[in-house]
Amino acid sequence: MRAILAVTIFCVGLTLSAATALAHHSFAAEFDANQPITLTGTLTKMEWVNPHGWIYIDVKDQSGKVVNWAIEAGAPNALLRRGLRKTDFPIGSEVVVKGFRAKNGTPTANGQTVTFKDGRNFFLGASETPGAPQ
Amino acid sequence: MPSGAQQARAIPRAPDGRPDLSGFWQVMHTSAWLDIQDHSAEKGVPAGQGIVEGNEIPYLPAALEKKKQNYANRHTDDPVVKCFLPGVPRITYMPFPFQIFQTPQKIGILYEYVHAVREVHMNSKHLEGPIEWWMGDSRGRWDGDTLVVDVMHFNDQTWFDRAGNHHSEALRVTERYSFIDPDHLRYEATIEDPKVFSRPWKMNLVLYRRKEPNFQLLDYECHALEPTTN
Amino acid sequence: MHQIVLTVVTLLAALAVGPRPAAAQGDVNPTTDVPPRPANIAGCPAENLAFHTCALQKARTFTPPRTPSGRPNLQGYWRSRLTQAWSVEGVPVNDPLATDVFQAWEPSAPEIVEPADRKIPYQAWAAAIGRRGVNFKQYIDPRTTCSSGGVPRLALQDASQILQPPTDDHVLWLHDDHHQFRVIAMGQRPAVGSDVQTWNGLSRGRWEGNTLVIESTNFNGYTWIDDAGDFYTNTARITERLTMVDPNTIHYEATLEDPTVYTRPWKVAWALIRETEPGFELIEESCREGERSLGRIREQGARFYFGAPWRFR
Repeated sequence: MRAILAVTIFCVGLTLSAATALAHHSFAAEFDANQPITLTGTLTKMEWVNPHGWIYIDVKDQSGKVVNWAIEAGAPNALLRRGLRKTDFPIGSEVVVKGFRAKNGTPTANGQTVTFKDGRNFFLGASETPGAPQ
Repeated sequence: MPSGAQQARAIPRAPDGRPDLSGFWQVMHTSAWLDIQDHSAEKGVPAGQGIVEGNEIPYLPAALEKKKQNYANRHTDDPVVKCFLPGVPRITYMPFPFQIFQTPQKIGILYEYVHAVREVHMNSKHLEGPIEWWMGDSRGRWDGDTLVVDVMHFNDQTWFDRAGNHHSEALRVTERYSFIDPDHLRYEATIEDPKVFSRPWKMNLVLYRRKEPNFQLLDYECHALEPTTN
Repeated sequence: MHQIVLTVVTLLAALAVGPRPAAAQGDVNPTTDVPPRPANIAGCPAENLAFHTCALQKARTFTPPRTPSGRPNLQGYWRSRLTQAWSVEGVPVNDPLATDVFQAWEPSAPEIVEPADRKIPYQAWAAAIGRRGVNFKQYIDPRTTCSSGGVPRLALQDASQILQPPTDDHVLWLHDDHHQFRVIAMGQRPAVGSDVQTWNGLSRGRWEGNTLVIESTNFNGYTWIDDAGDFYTNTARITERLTMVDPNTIHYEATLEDPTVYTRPWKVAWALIRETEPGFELIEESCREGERSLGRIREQGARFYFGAPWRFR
């Protein structure tokens, strides 16, 4: 069977022929594979920059304290080519981020998936290869 | 015949009949990137007559305050100090050569300074915004023998010079390139930004052809030139 | 079954070849998690060495389109195939990095086509530095610092564009990746002195029949050939050959020579296929301006490269 698959539009092709692929150990140097994290928060800022976009979200912890997290996302040019713009991702939107914490303990994470309440994925991180956590 | 007159040399033309801007170009005004207005010398900086028509930049009041703040902090805040892309038109008057590649549909302008690239797409529409790029989106057309380039989709991060002259993301630049003679181009940039200026204003420059034998662009990989104590 | 048109052309631009991992950690659904793989490229097998041999054969009888001035017309937008960023020596099936959570190194064939063992012919001292040795373990990939992928790595990254102005005195190869460009000066030129060193080399080109031959020298040796930290020094000389195989395919090969590092020249080969999306354009990919990670990476001990292991050996 040769089903040609619908490839999710938000893959930024970090695997093969590496669209803006950074060396393996640049992520591994910064982020801790042993500290996976899931965060739910509201979008406060988006930096639509290269080499990686950054999303900032206000996350309320159990005590009710709000911490602003910086999430490293994918490269924006794939989204731009698809016709998406910054304005398609409104400030204040609720976002769920799954990723890995920075080794240095700051509220920073490498976003593997960043999903909006309406189900849209945004800047899929480095995780579109088989076996990576979803 | 007027005395001392020289036969005007024909400007180079491409096969399609358009003036051929291909080749290596550079400003001789070595301090415009530091201050686009009239300025006296500072240590390491030659004096210069300004490239701003009328020497006046028509700031709105709040924007003028920002310019003054920028000026006060220029040695740290100028984005070029951080090796960032200089934007348009500053990239044109950085003291580095650039090379124009001309084909009928695309004109590539390659700058030695941080290998900045601008591709001028001829006779085509801007991409739909909002888009914020350092070097903007360039679309060109010919107006007789003048190349007119319309540039928009900028971010608000670049300065026009080290003196802190700035703009918003609403910036729109219209460039006009035309031959004075085969080895000199007249370059004019009209600046429009209703968030920052009360009216459009212009900069004017001469671009000189680099004629040294075997001339080519080399590297200025700015960030790699910073001293590092690994 | 039905065909679903790929909606994003920047997706998954190259295709791995070779055995796929059997269920790695987590469930792997081969029909949804991996990119479509063509059976062939321009009618040649989709593996680097087989493509290399077949494509050159086909090119002998293919007449490429011509520019108005009569040169083979290589102009347009191109994407690489039969490439991966990890290692020119390929990635074996049970590679420990195949299951890395951040960036899995997908098992794939080598891009090297010569020598026959498909390995870089390093001198002994250099083998410890490349091939996930000293460079990979201790230094930051220069691409990560927003420097160039260099040659030939640029030819596999992202989309690129070739322009051939009617003056035929230069060919321009523009890359999306970090707004890099390569200017190829055509025709006879004097060499530039070896003290002038550059990230992408200085290139001289000529036509040999339908092949664009590019010879490059004056490298600074500050780039990596791949993510594994394979490298050359400032005595490198690289010869690339671009030959159209069919209207939408270029056979690309690069021969790398560096008497400081290698025991003999070696060659990589892959395909460039035409990007056919209407209205496609290269777009700005600034890098230094938005780079935010280097501080954290250096905190963990990685150092800037600048050829340190070979310069100070």
